[in-house]
Amino acid sequence: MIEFAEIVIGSGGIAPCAACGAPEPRVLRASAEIVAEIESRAHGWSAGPGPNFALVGTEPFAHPDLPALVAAAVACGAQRIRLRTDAGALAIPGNAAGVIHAGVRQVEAVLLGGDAATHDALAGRAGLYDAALEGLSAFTSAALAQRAHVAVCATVPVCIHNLTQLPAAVSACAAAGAVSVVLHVPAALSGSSAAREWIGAGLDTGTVNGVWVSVQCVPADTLPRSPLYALSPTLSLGGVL
Amino acid sequence: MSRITVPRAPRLKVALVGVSSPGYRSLALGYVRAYAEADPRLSSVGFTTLDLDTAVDPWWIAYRVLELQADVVGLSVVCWNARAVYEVARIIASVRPETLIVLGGPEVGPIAEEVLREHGSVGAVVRGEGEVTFAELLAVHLKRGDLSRVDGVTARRNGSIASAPDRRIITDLDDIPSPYLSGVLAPVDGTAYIESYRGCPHSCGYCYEGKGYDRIRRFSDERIAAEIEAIASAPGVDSFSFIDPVFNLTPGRLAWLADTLEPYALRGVRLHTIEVDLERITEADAALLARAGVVSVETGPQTVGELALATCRRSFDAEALRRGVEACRAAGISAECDLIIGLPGDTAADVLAGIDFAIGLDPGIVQLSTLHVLPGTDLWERAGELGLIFDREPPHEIIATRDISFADLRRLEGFGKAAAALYRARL
Repeated sequence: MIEFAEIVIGSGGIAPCAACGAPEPRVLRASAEIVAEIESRAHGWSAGPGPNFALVGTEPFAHPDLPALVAAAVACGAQRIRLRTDAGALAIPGNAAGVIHAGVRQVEAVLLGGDAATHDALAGRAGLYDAALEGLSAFTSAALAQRAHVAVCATVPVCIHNLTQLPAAVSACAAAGAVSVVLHVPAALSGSSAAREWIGAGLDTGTVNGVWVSVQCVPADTLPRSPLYALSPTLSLGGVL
Repeated sequence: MSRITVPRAPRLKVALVGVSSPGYRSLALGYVRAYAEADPRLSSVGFTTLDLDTAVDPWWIAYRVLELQADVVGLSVVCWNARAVYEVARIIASVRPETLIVLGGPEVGPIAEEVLREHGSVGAVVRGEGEVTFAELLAVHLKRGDLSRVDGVTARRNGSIASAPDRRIITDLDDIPSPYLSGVLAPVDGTAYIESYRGCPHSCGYCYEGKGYDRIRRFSDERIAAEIEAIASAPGVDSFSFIDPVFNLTPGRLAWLADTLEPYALRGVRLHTIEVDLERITEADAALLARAGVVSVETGPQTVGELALATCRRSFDAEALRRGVEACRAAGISAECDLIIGLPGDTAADVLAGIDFAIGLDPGIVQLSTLHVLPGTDLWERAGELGLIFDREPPHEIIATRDISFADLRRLEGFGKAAAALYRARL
């Protein structure tokens, strides 16, 4: 399938569930170090169509050198550049068009709930849910205007606090034009029969609404509905620090 | 004192109605009209073409057609417009029952009697190539004759349904006037198509491209060159295409097309989505395609599953296909690799292997579609034997196969759609 080299640009900042624990402080990685890693991994690319880079680890729009990092990836011949983001910053006028113009073709939105109340509460930031949806809409609209082929994906870190929200979260992703959603299920939940039911409902919601939902961190043969749901069209090659 | 000549009203008004994909127009209706207009027996017939698309609601298509008050309405039917066409026919027949509604095309020809049984609004079905048969049908209709005695026609006769024998195929394709050269079809940028031959060198079990004919018939080089000139020189036309199933039919043919098209390519006219046997494309062939102005080609492999390939009578050489993609890429030509989900013999693992293979080729575009079991194809005939469960209603999508359940087919469609979109989202 399509492999992405995950380039860690920092840590903290994209909220995990605030109810599960206190968020880590944001730490940004030095730009020169990031650029060096991009160049190194582009040079040795042997993982099929690519090179492809996903900038991960912290909110990319919080990194002051984001334009330079994307430009470095483009200069290295990157085919696909993806940002893992809370998507809120895409709603700021000019951001969506700017990143597409720079070379970003995919965004991976991190979603914690299927409605504003849940998402904002778990993210610890009021208004983020609406901003994220507005940002994703701005991203696809800007792509149309620039005649660029882009894709919206989403990641849902599943926990006990948003388990019952999975169908709604997947539905919201589908409505936002996502083509793929990944449910990250922690080991603590993977054996729970209640979790299995809600994950199954999320998978069904995706299939019926035309968005592919895959489950990570759960053995394929224990997945509800079908082992096919272990499959993701994109693979992460992991970060190298 | 000068006299004003009032044109005589036609004895018979014929409306030809195309319901194409948005952005396309019906070349088939262009042929049918060009042939009929050249028939001296039909000089008193007035023709109108309505080129509409599936984005238009069938009720509004019917509205447009009824405004023409045509005596005969001809509609071209393929699997994906059939439901709309049947609805249009039903509305027209309800409002104006005296209208003779004639259907033709690959969706209805092979199952003509079934179509007439199930759709009381339809008066006749033209089977096979439509040009000669439709003109003959009109000539007989002018004389109030029995349509079911026209070779190639299935029609109603005294409350029952009768089929005349099949019509022999047109030996010399140049007998059909060119829709472009006769002025029936005006070239439009991006949507003009040239057909340089009929038939297909392959006989894939799921495809009706060969339309049951066992040999290839070509339009003359002079005719093709004249059509190219008419289209490529038309104001505003920067790109067009060929509908030939295999553009690189023979090396000589490809070289001739490159020579003929090159002057227009040098003026900036481009050819898009040309179907090729990519496994036979060498670097030299790719250079010919580039000279011809080709910017994108479309090809299989449809599947990489050995059992499905054998069942569908398809060959597949992974290395040759890889070389073909690389040759095209080096020549600046993007390739679209097509895969079909739901072929008999394929397991879910085969489908996934096909997606992985196609993306691994890095062709530019990977396109997945769900199998449609089309009337007249080998798979339609052998569906029971092969364990194919499909929708008898158009567009005849596969429901389940012996190896893949209904639910897993839908899941594979979803996965494939996502993989294709994520592959395409690139610089």
